[in-house]
Amino acid sequence: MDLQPHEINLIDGYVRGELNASDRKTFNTLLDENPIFRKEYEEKHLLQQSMRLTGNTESKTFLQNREAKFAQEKETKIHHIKERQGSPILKWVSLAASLLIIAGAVSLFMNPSSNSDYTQIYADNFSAYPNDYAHVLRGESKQNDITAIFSDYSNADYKNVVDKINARLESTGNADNKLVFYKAISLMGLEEHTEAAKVFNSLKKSGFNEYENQIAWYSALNYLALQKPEKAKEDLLRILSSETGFRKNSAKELLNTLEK
Amino acid sequence: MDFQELKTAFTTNHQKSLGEFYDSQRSNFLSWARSRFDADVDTLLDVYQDAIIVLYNRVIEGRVDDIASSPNAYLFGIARNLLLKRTIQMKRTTSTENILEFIPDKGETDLYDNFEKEHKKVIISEGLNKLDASCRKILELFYFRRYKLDAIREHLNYENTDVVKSRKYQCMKKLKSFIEESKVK
Repeated sequence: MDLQPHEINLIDGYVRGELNASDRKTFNTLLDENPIFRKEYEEKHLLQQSMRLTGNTESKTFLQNREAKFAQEKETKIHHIKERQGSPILKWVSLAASLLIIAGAVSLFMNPSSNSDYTQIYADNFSAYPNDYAHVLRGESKQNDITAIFSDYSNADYKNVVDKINARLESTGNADNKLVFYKAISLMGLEEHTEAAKVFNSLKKSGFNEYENQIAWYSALNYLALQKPEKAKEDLLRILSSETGFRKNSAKELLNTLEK
Repeated sequence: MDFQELKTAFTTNHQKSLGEFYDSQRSNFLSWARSRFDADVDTLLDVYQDAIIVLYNRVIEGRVDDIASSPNAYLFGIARNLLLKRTIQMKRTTSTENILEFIPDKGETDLYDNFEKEHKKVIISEGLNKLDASCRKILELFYFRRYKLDAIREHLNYENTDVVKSRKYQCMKKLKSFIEESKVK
């Protein structure tokens, strides 16, 4: 005999840690008295445990990649400092830069919607779109080029993603717009915003409706990174007038922020 | 940020919030740990990452509700235990699965030692791998990452939460059929 929907909800509530005292009591009674209920609970508990192992590995990879970026940024800073120290003429450039910074600070005070604001808004809102193109299993990253692309994507190895997508698009000759979308996100990850804007514009022209809001949302953020708020607003308005729900609330909020 | 706010952030956009939390405590942790443990930076960062993951699991699983300290202090406590354990064992963590060996929770150790349950977990993992990516994602977000239905709707671009519920139900059914198939084989 199958479980009733409320019994399934009870199990889901328990494994998600959401039951109140009374529901917990009902849960425990059913667990003792109903073997089908117990079996269902045990399966869901094991499902969680299985997912936790995979989830831990994913989190670790994610944090390691983040750490690698820290190291890279530090390396770049040290490189710049060494370069500056090596060239006396750059002392004058430094002085000029300092004056520019002061001028920038004054302009920031006069105009709150400054470049640094847009950069900050971009940084606050940008996170790579999740992979819903292909499921990548651990250890099979070399199995085919799609799994290889998304294995790199999940590791935030965007340079490889862009190269591999370009190679695939060239070899198949197919206009795989969904894949092109991930290329644009990866270009954003590489901070190649001008190039990303070109890709987003081509996607908009292609009539690729499935990711209409996703394209508009990321294109808007990309325009903010390019310090083009008016263009970003156009994209956000497109989201608000669309039928699909992706990022509608976020678009509204962001538009309000930009209008201030 | 308190535990409740952290839980909301983790169960709304786990990658963004995990990354932000990681960044926010990183330099504090390094200063603190360098003055107390004789370990190189790579080791400290490795432990810091493990501690963040342990904290993440505990927060989303609601196992920090009775903790009086702040998430930051709790994180440092976890890291301290991991570092002490590591110092004693004098070996590097080679896998995130080892995190669970360092700080086993009451009741969990039996589960992990139980062969039959381990076998069932393998069957479930295989079943999960047979699901399509969107199905796997919805089950992961609901059962493991504890996203609310509305957060799943937003994250995966579903029309409304009813669609999410129905999709979750179908995916679970599909997973069960894969598990049953494996048992027959």
